[in-house]
Amino acid sequence: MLRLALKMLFGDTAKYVMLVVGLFFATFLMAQQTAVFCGLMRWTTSTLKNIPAPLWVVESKVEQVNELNPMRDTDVALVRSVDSVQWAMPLYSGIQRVRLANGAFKIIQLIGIDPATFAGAPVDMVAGRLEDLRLPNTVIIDELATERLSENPGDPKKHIKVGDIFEINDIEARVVGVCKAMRSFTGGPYVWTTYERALQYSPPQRKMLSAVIAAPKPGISMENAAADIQRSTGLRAFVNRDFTFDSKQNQIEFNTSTIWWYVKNTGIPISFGITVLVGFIVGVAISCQTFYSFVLENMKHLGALKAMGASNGILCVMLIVQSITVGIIGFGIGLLGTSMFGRVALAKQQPPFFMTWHMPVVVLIVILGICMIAALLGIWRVSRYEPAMVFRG
Amino acid sequence: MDKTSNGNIVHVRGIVKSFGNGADRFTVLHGIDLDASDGQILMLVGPSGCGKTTLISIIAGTMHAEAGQIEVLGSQLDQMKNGQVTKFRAQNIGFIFQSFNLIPTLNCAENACVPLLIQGMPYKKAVDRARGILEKVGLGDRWKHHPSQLSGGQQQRVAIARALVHEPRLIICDEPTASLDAHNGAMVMELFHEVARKPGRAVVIVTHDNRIFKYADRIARMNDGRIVEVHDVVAGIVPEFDH
Repeated sequence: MLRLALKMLFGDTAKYVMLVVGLFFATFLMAQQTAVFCGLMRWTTSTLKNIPAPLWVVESKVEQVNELNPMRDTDVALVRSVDSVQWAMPLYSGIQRVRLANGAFKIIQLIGIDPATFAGAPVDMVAGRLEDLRLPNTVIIDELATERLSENPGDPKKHIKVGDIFEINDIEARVVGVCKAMRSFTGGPYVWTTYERALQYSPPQRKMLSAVIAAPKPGISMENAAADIQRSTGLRAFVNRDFTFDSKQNQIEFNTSTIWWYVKNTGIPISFGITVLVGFIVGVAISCQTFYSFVLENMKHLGALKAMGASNGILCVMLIVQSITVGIIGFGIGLLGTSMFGRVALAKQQPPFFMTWHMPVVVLIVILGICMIAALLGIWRVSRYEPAMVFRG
Repeated sequence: MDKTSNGNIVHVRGIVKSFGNGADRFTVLHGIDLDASDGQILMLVGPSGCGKTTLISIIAGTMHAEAGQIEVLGSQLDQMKNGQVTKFRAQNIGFIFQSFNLIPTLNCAENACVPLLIQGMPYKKAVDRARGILEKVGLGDRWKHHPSQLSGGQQQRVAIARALVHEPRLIICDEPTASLDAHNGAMVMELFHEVARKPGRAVVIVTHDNRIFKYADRIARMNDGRIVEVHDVVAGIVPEFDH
């Protein structure tokens, strides 16, 4: 009977295509929008990914990495004095303005690191040498900067390369290396220089230190070290580890704290949430309406099956198989579409896209839920149909 | 048990059925008594609204009666639970409907094998058996055709194959020739008479079509929810009914 159920489904091409298209759109909207949202949220923590220090010590009121309050330079020594800290280095992180060769201005995320140890330096160099950062007026830029800071971003020949020069706040900056880096939430490319030079490139303030990056001594956990630093210095110490849904980590884990800050303080989740909800509603509306109409059109045949001895149970299973089949096909095509979108997005590095295995699983559960709602509507209609009705035309 | 307590395939007594509630309540069947014998084709005839379709619905177990005894093949349908009646229908009753009720997206063999699939027979085995029955009704070479590719007469032959494929002991037909022209109607009845009528099986046909009365063994005429006349048809000679 299940084979017949599928033949009945596939035989009605118009309804079948409509159902699959509806579920495809629902899957695509839900999966793609969720992945873009997660990608965007991940971008908010790109500084933490690009400077993968185990511990970040910041001013006591700081909640997220893109809003660092300035600290005193002496705070570096304060952190170093904590017993559980193996090393601690100063870090400058701020948005600055770059003047391009054609006179245009672009913003950058300027990072200043300790020149002796290079703690916080780029991890993946693609051109040049990290050591050259010790030379006067030098910077290392990320791949995005080679395009963004060039005169003509559309012309690869004009892209910035090692040896080229631009200006940061009217001070010369010579490129000595290019590295890979995750894009920032603000869209500005990352530019690394030494801590002292970063202070020269930036407008002077009374306090200029953005953060102290540190590592715990061997055998001491990052959490314990962070707690020690907080207790001893009165500064706030975060652990630099990936995002987790554990709300307790919100207070101690910088990625989690940063992402939750954006979730709570911006309209981004609501905006994406509405789109995901629209996807769900589109799925429910199209699938339920089309499947119910499919059942109604087949009611005469389902009634005949019922008269011939097919139980409500058999008919229910037939309807569930039909709806789950279109659900899985629609989900498959939707996920394929999302994957293709994701591949293009990742290749072009925008829009942001980040998908974990949880997302397709949740979307599949939602799609199957939609299919079950559609099937239940049909089952309700079929179960109320008296088999004797088949004799009445 | 194969037969009823009095040896008939169908034995109903005192069937009463009403529709509606309160002032709108309308009694359709007023204490019907009817028997269908082994090897017999019984036709129920009468004007529209006289209760023929309601009566066969009750005999087939697709509708409940308010009162009366319904014994089919020795089983008291009025005392069985819904699930048991459904199973009984699947095993023992074949149906032929006025508008054929073939599923358009299935081919002839798949349509014909539906009763076997309902009983749980594997698909391939059921299709093979259906092809054998389609041979008997003259559609052996068209088993892959879909209903839309067949004439009305051919579609009704597929419906006959579907009604016979699981070797039911009772066949219920609702206006089997109403959607067919005279030629096709006669062809279908000839075939039906030939393949469906056999010992151990009863056929109950509801019809308006007096051209097919000659294929009956017995004709029961209904009027206003009562059986008013019952005649035997001998040697194809149809009796004159009182009107």
